[in-house]
Amino acid sequence: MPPKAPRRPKKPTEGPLGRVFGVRHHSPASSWHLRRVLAAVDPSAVLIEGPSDANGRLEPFVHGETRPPVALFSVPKGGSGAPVVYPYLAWSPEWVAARWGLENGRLVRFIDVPSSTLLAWLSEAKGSPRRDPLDAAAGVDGDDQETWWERGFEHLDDPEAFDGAMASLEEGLAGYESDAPEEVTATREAYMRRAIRAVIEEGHEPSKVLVVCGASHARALRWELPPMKDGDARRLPKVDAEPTWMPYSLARVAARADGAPAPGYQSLLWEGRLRGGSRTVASRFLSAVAGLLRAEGKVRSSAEVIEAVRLAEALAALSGASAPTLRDLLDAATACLGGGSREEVERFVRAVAVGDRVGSLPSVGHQTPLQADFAKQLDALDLTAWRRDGEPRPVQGVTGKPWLDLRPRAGVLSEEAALKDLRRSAFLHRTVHLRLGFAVPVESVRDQNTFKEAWRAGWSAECEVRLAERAEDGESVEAAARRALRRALAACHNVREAARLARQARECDLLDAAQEACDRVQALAVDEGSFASVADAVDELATLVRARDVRQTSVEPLRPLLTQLFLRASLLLPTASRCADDEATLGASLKALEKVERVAALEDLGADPSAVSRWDEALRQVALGDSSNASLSGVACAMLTARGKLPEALLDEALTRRLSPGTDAQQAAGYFEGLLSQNRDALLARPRLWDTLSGWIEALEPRAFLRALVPLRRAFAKLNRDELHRVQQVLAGVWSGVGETPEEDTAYTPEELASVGALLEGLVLEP
Amino acid sequence: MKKPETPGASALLRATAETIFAHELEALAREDRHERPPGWRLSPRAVVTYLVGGAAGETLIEPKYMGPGARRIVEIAVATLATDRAVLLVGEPGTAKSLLSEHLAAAISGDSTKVVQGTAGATEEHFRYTWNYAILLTRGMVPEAVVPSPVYRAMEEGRMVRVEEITRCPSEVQDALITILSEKAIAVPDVDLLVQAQRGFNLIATANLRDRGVNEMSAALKRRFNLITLPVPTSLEAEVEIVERRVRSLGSQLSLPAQPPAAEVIRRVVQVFQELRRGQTTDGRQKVKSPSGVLSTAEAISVLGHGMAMAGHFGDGEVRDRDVAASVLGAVIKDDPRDAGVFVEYLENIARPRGGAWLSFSDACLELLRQVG
Repeated sequence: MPPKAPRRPKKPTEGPLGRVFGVRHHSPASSWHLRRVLAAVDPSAVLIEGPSDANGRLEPFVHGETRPPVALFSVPKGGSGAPVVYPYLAWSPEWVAARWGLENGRLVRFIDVPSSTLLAWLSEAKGSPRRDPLDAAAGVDGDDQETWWERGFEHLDDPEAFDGAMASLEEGLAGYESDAPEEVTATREAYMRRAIRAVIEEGHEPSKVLVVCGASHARALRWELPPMKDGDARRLPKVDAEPTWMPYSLARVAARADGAPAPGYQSLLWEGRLRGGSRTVASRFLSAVAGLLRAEGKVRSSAEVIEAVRLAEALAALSGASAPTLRDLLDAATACLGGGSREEVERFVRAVAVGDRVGSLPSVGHQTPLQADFAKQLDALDLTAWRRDGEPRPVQGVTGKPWLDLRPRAGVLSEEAALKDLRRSAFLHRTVHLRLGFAVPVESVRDQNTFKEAWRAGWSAECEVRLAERAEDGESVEAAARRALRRALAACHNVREAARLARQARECDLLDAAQEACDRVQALAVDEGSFASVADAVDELATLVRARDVRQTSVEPLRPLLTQLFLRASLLLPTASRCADDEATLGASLKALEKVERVAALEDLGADPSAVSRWDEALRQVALGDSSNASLSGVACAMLTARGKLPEALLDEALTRRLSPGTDAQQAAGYFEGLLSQNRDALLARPRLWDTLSGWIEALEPRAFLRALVPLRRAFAKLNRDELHRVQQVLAGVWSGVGETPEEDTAYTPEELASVGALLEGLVLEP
Repeated sequence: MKKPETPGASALLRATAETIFAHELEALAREDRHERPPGWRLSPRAVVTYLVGGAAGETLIEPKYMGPGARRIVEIAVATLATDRAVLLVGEPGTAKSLLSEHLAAAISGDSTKVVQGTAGATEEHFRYTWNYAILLTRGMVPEAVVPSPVYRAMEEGRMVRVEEITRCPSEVQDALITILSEKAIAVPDVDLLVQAQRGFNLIATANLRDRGVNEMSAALKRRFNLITLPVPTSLEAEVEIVERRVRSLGSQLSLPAQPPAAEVIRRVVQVFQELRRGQTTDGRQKVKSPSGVLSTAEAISVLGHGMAMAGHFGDGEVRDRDVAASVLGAVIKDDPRDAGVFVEYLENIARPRGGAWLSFSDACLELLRQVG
């Protein structure tokens, strides 16, 4: 007789689907009791609330080299959306459950919706990341949620007491609506029910199936409630993403809304449990706090720590609890270690409560996609030599010189080789946006030439850590850089910053981000009221446009934007020129003016000629008008003269008016200073100018002369020897009426020196 | 010192806390089911209930110490005392340090009279013992010649001793407490006597760490205490509640013939004090110059008490603005002559424009100021 096929036991129709163990994420007590339940139930299948597309990637749970905290994360490809992260600490129930299952060769499966679906929901702004429903469950007696949990659950050692407490919590949370919209939670629970049923169908006894999930879902995993239909499961929205592992840190867990606010403290609780008793947690915690205080130079004795521990325990006893909560520890630290003042100790208590541990993954085969891409790019661009620890060194270009030559090389076989330096430049710019601290551009080289770029690059352990941390920004260097740029763009509120980001995006060869930045520039330019910002923006865009040949990208779309900004600058200039005379404001305005002028002067920019003429008009207003700052007037005059846009007669007239006896001497001298600061050759060739100046100086009264002295001296100090010599010649010609070279040198007679000396003394003594 | 017979609180100006609230303490002792530390009249939990309010069976317990975080502060103080550590209550003047100290001693030991007042003239003898020179001369060195200090007697009886304003004592004198708190014993070698503290002995000190005439506490002494900082009430509501309660109890205690002031009057006085103290209006919109005085909660209470006395004896029993005006002036303008100008500015720019009852209040104050000059 053939053996009878084993009879499948009849499936129940009500009650929980398998052995459901509700937990609080990242709770040492939950994990501790879970271990006990695992040992007692000895399940054949361990099902965990986690993204189901991580199944098949669970190896790091049991790899010997893995050190928590680590995290599973999933990010949409291309770096366009926010990532979803699942951190695991050594005392996370998921961690404990998965390890037990894998180590004992049982079936371990994650049964929640895949991360790709969660990402899709996130991008539709449907579901928020997991939020602990206990947020609202507590709040009694003025205790905050964490203290309430600690007092009521965390310190329970007795299995029955814990089970009872969790059961009543699950009851209470059953009807609770968390932050996420109802449909998201309901969908997830239906999906989980489907997954559990599938495992039972595969032949596992319901009583030997252990389900580890958040306490708020526990009551939803029951036979009575319908599972998700297969069709619905197939039709769940998805984005292109895959979960991968990355190292994480306690500090980042503490910073997350759905993490744990005091993971350092939790680690002490967990270690206490592993050691067989939580009696020493208070001592260890407060000793750590005292240690930090001592490290800062604030001496604390062991006696004070002992007193603090005793006070914490007394406070716990007063509330009928068996062990102090974190709040008790903080209050005890305030009273005994902080001299009554909370501010003294809060920082240190927080540091110990958060902890500074950083996790790591096994070195082989567990690179984050970003790390893998980084290595690949370095290899392709022959930059691996710079990934050695050491001082930053100049990056060598293909020509062997210590700079990158961005021009395409002729006479090479492939496009790759021809554009190698250009590609390297784009890559290094991208790493700058990842803030790795790997490569730094050398500024001085860049300004003068558009095809030369110098970089210094050097690796360090910090860079490695940062590279791992950026993992959730994207799956490739390009994607991560794009995300970083988009973040910066969203945060900028100034047309100058937006224009700078546009330039940077082009340098990174991320054209879509560059386009977004240009759009933002346009949007911001409309409202921008600061001349300096607009000038900076014009400068940035002009740099971009000038670099067009080298960067191999079309800059046509930028021209209208440039024109618009130019127009804006022209409109803002007259008002901006009425600025104060102090160094800072004047200097800033001057720089801005020079920037725009530089752009105007470059005719090959192809800026709309009408825009340039409008700029000239604005300049003329500044140059000839009386309400502008005198120095700026002079500068504007000089600029116009240099470009030949100011007729001789007008210049004469302006000068004479400015240097007339009626004007304030300091203002007049400032005007002259401004005039002299630009394009001196043109001025030196006009003797009439010097004649006017000479006449004016001679006509000055002594006091007025002293006031004019400082700007005049400043003006002449900027001339070099050659120019000074030419000035002498011109002046000699003017004074003598004939163009002669003076024989005498510039030595002064003693009497003249004495008189100058007296004048200067007078200058000093004058109030 | 024998406690004089108390024929009822009415004959005494200020009865002790344990007398006034004897019924509450009795009820708490009766209903108390928790463990009492040796030498304590009540369990720590009952002490906390006594101080922050609650119920003991049928009896309603009035809160003595109120405010945000009051419960937590009281818990820390009681937990400290239960672990045989001395407590040092620190805070600005008027934050109920002495009140808390008195009630703690009353609840725990049933006796709040063992007090050492810290002054600049305090000596070691105030903390340890002194000699009865008459006996010393006639009978020589005998134990009867020793005159015990409150600390000495508290040790003998196993009760709480209170040290008020410990930082006003000279530093050398403060340090006499260091040995007392470590050894928990006082030796009188001259008569071969060693008094060791009985269980239930502990020390509650109060200090104002930042004031004129205050001496530094040495680190060694600070270490013998658990320090608790009593906060100044930050919100208007919290302070009004405290003041209201205290004014009512003050009224009944002193048998003032007036009704307790209307809530509005209390609120106005508290608001004036808070705004001047903080240097800005309650809504935070305008800045106010602060006078040199402290303007603490305790002063607000006494101002309103004074107002009640004025209304009761010289008015019609209802506390009005002009009744409080005089004492408000007295509280705000203390020794710095510029305070008058500060207050006038406040009244003109901030109080009067509010209109309504504020107008009459400001006018009353300004009128008085003009009369006083």
